[in-house]
This record gives sequence, C-alpha cells and structure tokens, in this order.
Amino acid sequence: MVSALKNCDVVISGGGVPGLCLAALLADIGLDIVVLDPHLPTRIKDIRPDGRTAALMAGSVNILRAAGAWELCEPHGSALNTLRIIESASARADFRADDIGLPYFGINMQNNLQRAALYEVILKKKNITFLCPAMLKDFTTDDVGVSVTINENGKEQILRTRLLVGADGRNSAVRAQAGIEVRDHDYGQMAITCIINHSKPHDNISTEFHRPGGPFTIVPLPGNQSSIVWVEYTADADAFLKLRRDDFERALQDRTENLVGRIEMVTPPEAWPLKSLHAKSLIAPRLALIAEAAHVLHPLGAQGLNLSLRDAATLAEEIADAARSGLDIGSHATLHRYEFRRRADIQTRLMGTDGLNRMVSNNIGLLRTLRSIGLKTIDAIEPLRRFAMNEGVVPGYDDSRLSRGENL
Amino acid sequence: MNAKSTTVDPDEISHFAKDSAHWWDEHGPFAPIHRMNPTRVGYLKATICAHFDKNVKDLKALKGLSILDAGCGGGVVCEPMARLGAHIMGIDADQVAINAATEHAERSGLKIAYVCGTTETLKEQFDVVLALEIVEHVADVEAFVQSCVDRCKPGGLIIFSTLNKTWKSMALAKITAEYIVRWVPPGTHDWKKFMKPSTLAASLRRAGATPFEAMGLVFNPLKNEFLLSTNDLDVNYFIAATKDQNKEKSKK
Repeated sequence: MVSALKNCDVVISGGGVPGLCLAALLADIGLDIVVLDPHLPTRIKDIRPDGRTAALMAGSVNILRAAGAWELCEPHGSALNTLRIIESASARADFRADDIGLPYFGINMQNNLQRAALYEVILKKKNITFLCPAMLKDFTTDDVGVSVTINENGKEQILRTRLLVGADGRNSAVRAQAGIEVRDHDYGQMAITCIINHSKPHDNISTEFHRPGGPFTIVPLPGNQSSIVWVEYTADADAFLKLRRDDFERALQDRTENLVGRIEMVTPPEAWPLKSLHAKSLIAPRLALIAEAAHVLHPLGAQGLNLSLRDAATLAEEIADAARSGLDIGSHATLHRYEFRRRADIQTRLMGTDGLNRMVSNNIGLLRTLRSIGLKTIDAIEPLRRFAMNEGVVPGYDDSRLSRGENL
Repeated sequence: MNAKSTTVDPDEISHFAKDSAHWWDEHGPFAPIHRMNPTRVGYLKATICAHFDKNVKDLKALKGLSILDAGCGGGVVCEPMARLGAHIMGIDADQVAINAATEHAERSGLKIAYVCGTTETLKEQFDVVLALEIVEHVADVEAFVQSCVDRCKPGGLIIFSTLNKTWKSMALAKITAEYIVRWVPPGTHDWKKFMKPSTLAASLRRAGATPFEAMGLVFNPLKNEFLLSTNDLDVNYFIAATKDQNKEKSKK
C-alpha cells in the first residue's frame, strides 16, 4: 500500500550523528526535513557505557554547538590535552595542545551520546519528521525534485523532496542506487574497543603505543575511565577476542604497561574490520552523500567523525545560502559547490590516515628505526612539532564557517 | 509579441528563441546565467531587504512585496523571488521562453504571473522593478528605461544589470565567452549595445529615478564563481535606483 505524497525540502536517509546534525542545522533556518532510520536513537538518560568513542576536535565541537547538541554532550566528554606516542622504551614524544595555543586536541566521548543529544534536539523541532523504523526503498529523480519511496514500519509511502541526502553509512543504499562507485581497501586489521576503569588518573593524556599489529591507544574519558582502541592484525585479533574475560583483562594490563595502574573492564570487547572506502563522487542529480556514505577512514588519528561533521556543516551552509537566496537547493549549482569545498579535505584525510597506518603498523626494522628517529626529531624540533600537531587538528582545507564557530 | 513595440529588437528575440526551451538546463546554452545566478540573486535579495527593511536571513523575506522582472527569460530570477515570498510578474517578448518559464514554475509548485509582451503595455506598478541582462538587447534604450521606471511605485526600487562598454568586456564577455570558452552561443551579445554605468545612470535619472549604488559582478576563475565587487565594474555590473517621489505627482 502506498500512502499519500508527503512534501518536504530535504530527505536525509540515515539518522546517525552526521544525519541528525544536518537535520538540526537545516531545521533552524526554517526548512522542512524528513529523516529516516531503521534504529531508534537511545534517549540520553538511558545511555550505557559503550566502547565506540571518538575524539571531537574544536571544529566539531563548534558544529555540534551550532546544532544545539553540545551542552548535552559536554559533561560526558574528557579533554585530551596531551598526545603521547610511545614507539619503544627509548623513543617517545609528548605533544601538548597548549604548545600550539589550543585548549585541547579533542574531547573524547561515546558516539551514542552525540546521537542521543542530537535526538533530544530534533524531537523539539516541529519542522523535522523523524521516521523510524524506516528505510529507503528507491527513488526517481526529475529536473525539479526527487520522489523517494520509503518503507516505514512495513508500509510504503512516497516522499516528494528537492534534495536527497545519503547519510546512511558505509553500505549506503542511496549511494548504491545512485550508481556512485566506490574505491575500497581492507587493511587486514581489526579495531578492538572497550571501556576500562583504571586505578591511576590519566591526566588527560591520550597514549598511543606503536606495535607491529597496529596502534594501541588509551583515550581518556571523564574520571578514572578510558576507552581502548586496539588495532591488531585480523588473525591475532580473533585470538584475543576468544580469550576469557580475566585473560583479556590481563592482556590489556600487559599492553598498557601499567601506565594507568590496575585495569578493570567496563564493557566487553567489541571488534570490527578496518576498511577504507571513498565514493568516487559526493553528488548526483539532486543527491548528496555525507559522512561514511562518502568516506570511511582508518581510525588512526581520529579523523573519521570529525570529517563527517565537516561534511554535514558544509552541506548545511551551501543549502542555507541557496535557500536564503530563494534558489533551488537541489540544483547542480548548489551541490557542485558542496563537492568543490569538500574534495581536498576528504582526499588529504584519506591519504593521510592511510599513509600513517602503513608507516606505523609494521615491524620492518628499517621503518622502526626511521620512526624512532622521526619521532625524536619531531619531538626535538619545535617548529616541526607545531606543524605536525597543527596538521592533525586544524585541517588546512576546512573552510566551514560553522566549524570556525560562526553562525549558519 | 507586439510588433510595433519600440523596445523589442526582432533579431534579438529570434536569437534567444531558438534556445529558449533549454532555459533550465544548468549545462545548456544558459549555463553562464545559472553560474552567476547564486551571486546575482544574493545581491538582489540583500538590496531589496535593505531598501524595505526586511531580515535578509528570513526564507520568506520578500513576503508582501510586488516585483516585476522585465526580460525574465525562462524565469531563473522569478523563481527565487517567488520562493522568497514575493508576488512576482515576469514579462518577456519571447513566447518560447515564457512557455518554458510557465511550465517550469508549475512543475516546481511556484505561483508566478508570466506575461508575453513588453513593459510599455503594463498598467500596474510594483515595489521593485528588475531589468537584468536585458537593456543590452532592447532596440530603444531610453524608452525601455522609461517604461521600467514608470512600472515602479514612487519610493520603490529599480535594479538594472548589464555589460559595461569597455575593452575588457569586449575581450571577456564577447570574444572569450562566445567564441573561446563558448559559454554562450556566438551572437548572444552585440558589443555596440553595451553601456557604461554613467550612461545607464543618466538614462535612469532622466526617467525619474535616482541611482544610489553601482556594483560589479566579477568572475573568479580560481573559485569558479562570480563575486560582487564595489570597484570592478568593467564587465558585468548592477545599478540600483529609487523611483523619485515627486516625479509621479508632477505627471498627474
């Protein structure tokens, strides 16, 4: 059964953090938005510890603040003031945020928290319709709009809109149906994550051990709690995941080199394969891809979610500018500007994290030596340190006004 | 089309009419218009909002205002104005363009009054009269400017845009755009009809309006977009004027 046509300005397929963020930003300027997602977000009061965390850089904090969600997130995040890289017992380097005039490198918190906070925001907005459980079935595009057929709770209905946004993740149905090809790569690595309590304070230091299988990182959370991001070759990761709880805890204890004292697991370990992916185009007629529908990055360097939020912010800016001039928000002119502004940022982040991973995830003697020398050099030469830090946290290709803290 | 009209140049109409069905193709013969449209429409909205004290960030900022778009073509300016809440009339001597405009607005769900004809035949007056990229195509400039000013309410706003008569506009707008990068079909512009801002301003003054601003529209090849410029009026430019209050009274 197909119910009557519903009209709106933008349909966003995918109600994850980037999709909800885009919806909240666009609703504020007065556009009618429909968001679809198969899974209901958790309410903020029901949030439980979860191993999936992300460090939000200052620009991302500004974007979430503009979306009205930051005040709800802030109490649950921990600032990362120092990044400590440990290559070996003799080669380590500390990078301090205040050395480059920043209050912090990032604020670490659970991903489901940002989604929950954004959900609270959008529930209060009359011009956002959140359809759930709902999925995109197909769509047809013509020169003045898109007709999107969705399945909401077993019932089919057609939405008529000016622009369809694919924020539906790495297996994006929007991307597939638009025929946009992807280039992907499997790193043969897994990321194991969990939350731990520890007896010693973390002092807001994010510690990254470089090991042959991949980086092992302790990322601070509020109190004596941290999240673990442990990258390992797939076969080794499988073996670790089969360990009994106390054996796994011991393995963690061993890897943290007692830096944060005695460890106790708060959440069981979860793991997923590491892949990189990038869509060959961010746009098609009346269609834009954002976030993981457009790019998936190696977690090294914590760039993924930050990059995704910059997509949402930039697209919101282009749509806002077009709408305020009365222009067609789904026109090629509008979408082309979005793609034009995002291309360099996405390319450099993809290549950067990929290269970084190839550099650090190996046990080649020469590279290990070069890494040690490199780390000592970067650590010793002040301008180089500043450059390395600035590149990581203040992306040169980000020109989003929202991420600078300005208004939409 | 009014064959006796003083402002319509039949050669100009036939030149545009052969492409008029493609007005809304962003990659077609009117691609440069689409490319400059975001900046152009942004300027129009900002200027209209400033004149009538409206909030420029409001999506319906032009609500309550009546606007005439003289030489509206396929409606690429009428549609944005309608979305912003204005009561808009688009007039053009090219029937094919009016048909394309009417059909596109209808499918987009926008209410726009399209008329095939010339400004001299209209009786009503509007808060705003727009004459964009049109004065360089009319047969009698003085008569056309006068008819635009006559269609504006006293104290209302008149905005013209056209191409300057400089060597730079000859090189860029005529030779480069038509023959080298082929943005527009050859023969789109007759450089002899281009006007200096001072000439256009003088025509407006004679017709009973007071020009208060000239603004350049400059293509930036690095950013691949048009930008507004207060000091470079060498190629494309706008002139904004207010309709004089007393002129109307003295006529009556």
